[in-house]
Amino acid sequence: MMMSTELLLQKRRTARYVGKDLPRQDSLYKVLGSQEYVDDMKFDGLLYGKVLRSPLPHADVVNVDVSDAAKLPGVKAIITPFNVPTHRFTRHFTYVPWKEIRDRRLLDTRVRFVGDPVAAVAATDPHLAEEAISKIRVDYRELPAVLSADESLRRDAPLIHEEIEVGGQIKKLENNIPYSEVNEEGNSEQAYAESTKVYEDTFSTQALFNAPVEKRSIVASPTPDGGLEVWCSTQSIHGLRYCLSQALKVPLNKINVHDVLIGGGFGLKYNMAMHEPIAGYLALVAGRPVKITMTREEDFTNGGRRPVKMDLKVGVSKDGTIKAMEMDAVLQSGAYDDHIVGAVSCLGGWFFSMYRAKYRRYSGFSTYTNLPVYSAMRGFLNPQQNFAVESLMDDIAEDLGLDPLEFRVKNIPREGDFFYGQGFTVVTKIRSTGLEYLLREGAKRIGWHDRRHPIRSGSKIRAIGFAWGHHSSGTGGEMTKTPDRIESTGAIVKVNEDGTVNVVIGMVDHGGGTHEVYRKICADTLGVKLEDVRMRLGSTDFVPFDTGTHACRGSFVGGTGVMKAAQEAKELLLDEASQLLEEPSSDLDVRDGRIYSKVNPQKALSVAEAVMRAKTRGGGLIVALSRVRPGAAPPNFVACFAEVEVDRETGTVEVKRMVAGADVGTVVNPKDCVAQIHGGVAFGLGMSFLEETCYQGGRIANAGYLDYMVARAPDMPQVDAFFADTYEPTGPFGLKGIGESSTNPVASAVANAVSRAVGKRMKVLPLKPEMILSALEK
Amino acid sequence: MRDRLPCFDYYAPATLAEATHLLASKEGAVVLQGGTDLWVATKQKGLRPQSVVSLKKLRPLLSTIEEEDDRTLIGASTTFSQIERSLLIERRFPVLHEAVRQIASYQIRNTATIGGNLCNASPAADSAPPLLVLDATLVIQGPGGQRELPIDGFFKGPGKTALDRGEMLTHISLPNPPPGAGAAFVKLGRRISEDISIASAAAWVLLKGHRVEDVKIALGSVAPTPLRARHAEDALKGGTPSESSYEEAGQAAMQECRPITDVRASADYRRAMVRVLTKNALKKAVERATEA
Amino acid sequence: MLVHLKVNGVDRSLDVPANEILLHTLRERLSLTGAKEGCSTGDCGACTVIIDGKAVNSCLVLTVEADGSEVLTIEGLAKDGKLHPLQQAFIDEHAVQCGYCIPGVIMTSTAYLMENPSPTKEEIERAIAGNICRCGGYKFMVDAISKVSKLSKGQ
Repeated sequence: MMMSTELLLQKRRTARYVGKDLPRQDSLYKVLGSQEYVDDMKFDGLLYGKVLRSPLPHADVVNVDVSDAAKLPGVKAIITPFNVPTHRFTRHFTYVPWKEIRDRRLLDTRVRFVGDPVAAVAATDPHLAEEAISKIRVDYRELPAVLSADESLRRDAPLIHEEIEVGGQIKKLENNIPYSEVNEEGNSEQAYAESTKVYEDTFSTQALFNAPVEKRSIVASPTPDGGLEVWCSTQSIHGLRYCLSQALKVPLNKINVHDVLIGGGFGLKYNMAMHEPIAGYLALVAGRPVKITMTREEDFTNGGRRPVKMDLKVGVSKDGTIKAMEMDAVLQSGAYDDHIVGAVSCLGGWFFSMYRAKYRRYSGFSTYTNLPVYSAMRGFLNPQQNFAVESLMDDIAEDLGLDPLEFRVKNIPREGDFFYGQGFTVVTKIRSTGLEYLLREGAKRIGWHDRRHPIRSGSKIRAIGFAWGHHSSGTGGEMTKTPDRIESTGAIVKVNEDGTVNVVIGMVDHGGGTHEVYRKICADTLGVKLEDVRMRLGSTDFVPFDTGTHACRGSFVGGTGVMKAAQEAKELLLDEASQLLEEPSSDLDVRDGRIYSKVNPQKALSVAEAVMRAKTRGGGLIVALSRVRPGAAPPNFVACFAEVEVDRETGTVEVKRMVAGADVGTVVNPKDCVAQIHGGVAFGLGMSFLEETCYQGGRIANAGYLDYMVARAPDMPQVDAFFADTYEPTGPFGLKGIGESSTNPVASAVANAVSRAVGKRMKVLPLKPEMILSALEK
Repeated sequence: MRDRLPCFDYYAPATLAEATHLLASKEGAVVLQGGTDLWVATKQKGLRPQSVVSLKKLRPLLSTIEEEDDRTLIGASTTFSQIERSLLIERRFPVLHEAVRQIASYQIRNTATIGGNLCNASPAADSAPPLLVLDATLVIQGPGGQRELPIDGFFKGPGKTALDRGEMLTHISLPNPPPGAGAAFVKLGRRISEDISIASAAAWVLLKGHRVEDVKIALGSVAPTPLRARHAEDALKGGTPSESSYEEAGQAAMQECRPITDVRASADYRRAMVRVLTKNALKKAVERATEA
Repeated sequence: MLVHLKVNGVDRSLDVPANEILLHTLRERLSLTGAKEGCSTGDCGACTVIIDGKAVNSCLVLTVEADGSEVLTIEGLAKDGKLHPLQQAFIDEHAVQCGYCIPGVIMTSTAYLMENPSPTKEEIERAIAGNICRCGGYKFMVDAISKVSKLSKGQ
């Protein structure tokens, strides 16, 4: 039942906790150093697993000789492609079964990238495990390797997969393209007829790594009934359970995956990494718990942002109205599937959602290559298309003699338009947007209007650039075509007889503060004190299903789940109270743990009393469980303005200042939300200049934090963050998300600033000093 | 890559004689100073040290900064943080001070030693270009006794030095700067904060009136070893410092360097930057010499 | 080899092989898991502890090299249930997100403030440049450290 806007806004205004900065419950353990992550946990009888990985990008495994390794006392299990099950399974968390791609085996007799697992051991101590691995001898028959998208598309290119399974059926591949998608809307002829000029250009973005500080780690512990207890640094406990069950053929109800805090995910951990079923299998074979923690170098092969090449075509009329937008994209995905279908779809969906245009067309496909597999990464194809589109838009505006800002404002999506969050099958109507405000306010704060042109001073050039971006809040929404998105959550709210509350949800907290959002929403919905609400981490046996933490759904979807459970608990509470107070429950409300009559305020009792009644009279406490599939995935928006200083001698760039405005609907945790913006800026700086995964002969050449450079404290510019004041009617307390939109337009803004400074369009990320110097020469 | 170190024999000698004896007699012996290079090479590059000779017990002896008549002696076990904090070094050898404070990170500088940095002989060792232009002499101890070697002959190739088996570096000797001398170090990393150099330059000039009586230029990260750019020096020596003479020196330095392309930067870019950095280092050095 | 060291004020005698790294000794033998292994090569700072007053990457220190030394880890900062000012400031300034880098950053800044009690913001940024935070963009950490340095100025 939708409340009126007035009531919703009032609910937000009177909220005690939503919108206030309060110390986070989890911070204490983290500053004490007592917060445990998977690698910190202790287990009796623990064995240490280690994976032997292929040094070659493409080869058949002819023979694996483990005899010397097996002789070492303390080695309790050794597995090779020849002594494990050979069925294929998926590593992906959100496929619907009929679209599920299965192209991996536990250990395969063919290796397809440098780092592909070949064998594994479990031993009584980590030194022994490393020694055992070094004693395994593998005979490879090397195969020609395909190391780029171009190479993989050649007619004579070797097939990386001759067959895969899709939706349970074997699909034979004739080329290295496992998935492609085309989507078109509107009338092309008419749109181009109305266009005065057509602009075309090509843009490309680099391979990146999510680079969380915590390396992936798993402990799998066998249970006497053939099951597994699992602790894993993962972004979805139910997702991991599903994939492990397929891989190990253990029933779902016997795999209990524990929710643990993780040291950053950023998409890297939104899949089952291959060492995870390997750990599970070793544990079942050895009959003891097995831990596998990645080395930093190994972790690089677990995922990253896939590089994309995009051809853009935009038709614009003289007055600056965009009429037609077309994109042809090639995505390079590495040797196996991880989000390939989602990646191809989402790239197109984000693209369609950038500007109003009568005609839109997207054609994208992904190639397999003999390179380590790319995963989801913060923004998930949105930063890539944003770079292409926002770069071209600046060029178009300059060519038409229009202020780039006004050109954007003229064409941005508005309330009532459709937003394609997560591809073309899931659509949301835009019901709240503060984007125009963000653009105008941001422009004011950075001083855009006085500083449209670059300023030269000695060997430096200063310029301002901007871009705006969006992201969906979750992956819900109205299905326009065959449903193909799993999007669901649930929470349990339990009110105890002393008035305190327990809340559980299956959504993993990456650290952004989502559990604090849930506590606040619960407290404000139920009407109890925040300090009386306790959130604990559960496990799959004990918490409702949740898809996992990705797609900016932590606060929006998880918050909805908690709110609905809290609403139901409140109704049950008021039912009990109405009996005791002899007032209709519609006249009652709760505040600070006190239930009172709005009509006769002296008629009141505590939440504890009401629950005690429920316990003694009704035989139970107040417990509510919610099951939610959100009907919308509303866009959250970010506008980013960057001031850069280019050094004409060295081609290096310093970002001096940044203004970032965000429309996240209601801001629940203001300071933590600002921290997300800062973090997004750091990611964006990485994408602009610092970060690129480099390969040599298929091997990652910079698999470490010396040469894979993420932003450090001195790299950060001054960041002025601000929020639009909007209310999203489909969001709990009017909120949307922030985690990914905070990074999506940053590299685009920086590239626009640099392009303006040097007077030449930068079309490739990262922006290297050599490119800048060569642009300056011309 | 491995997270755990392989087995090795570990020794912690209490005297220099013991240390050099171990280095001379033990199979596959390496010196352990701060360990920040040694353990990274062991974990990431497959290095397998068989005997590790730790200079831990010799630290009190080898980590002093002392003034002696006409020179300053820096012990090889002095950490970069100690050098950074030394007012003596900052006043007397600002070129070394400014190089050292830009190395790696605060934690690494607290552990890594100047001796370890030199003996690791990376082409990118940031302490090398300043020491080259300061005409440092290295004090080396071996089983046969002590010898001194000008730093210019010390680097033989990436990871290779002029130390014979059994020898170890004990001190770096810096002649006190004459009046009218000024020196500067500039480096280019890939980002603002501490980073490994992709190119660096140190310059030292001795001005007599307006004339450059003497000049030394050294380049880092652009050749198999840190090197003196002698042709670049010739371009400036005896003349008056000016924009055009800096440019000439920069051009000459570009010809003398032999950079490679790696994940950090291309050879072409490094070479182009040698010109820029050489000019900037010279300008700064002349400014300091003029002030002196 | 027998090693004697003081960890968080407590004398410890441990028999460890020469090739054991201090980070692993702390985490595995002494159950002090606050220091984390983020990269093993001294690049991320998550393993930072304080040895004899200096912040160092414990992933690059042999335990036998710490013989005779005093080691301070994150677990040793709070005294009698009272948080160290930096710990409190990190909470108050919302400098803590996923938390993985936090013990390392707090130890680095603890050591740094002992050496330089009144740093500028630029100096603080340089001091923690060896600590990677991938979540929060560093701003609030710098604020927290700066706040503590200003508070202690009055003492």
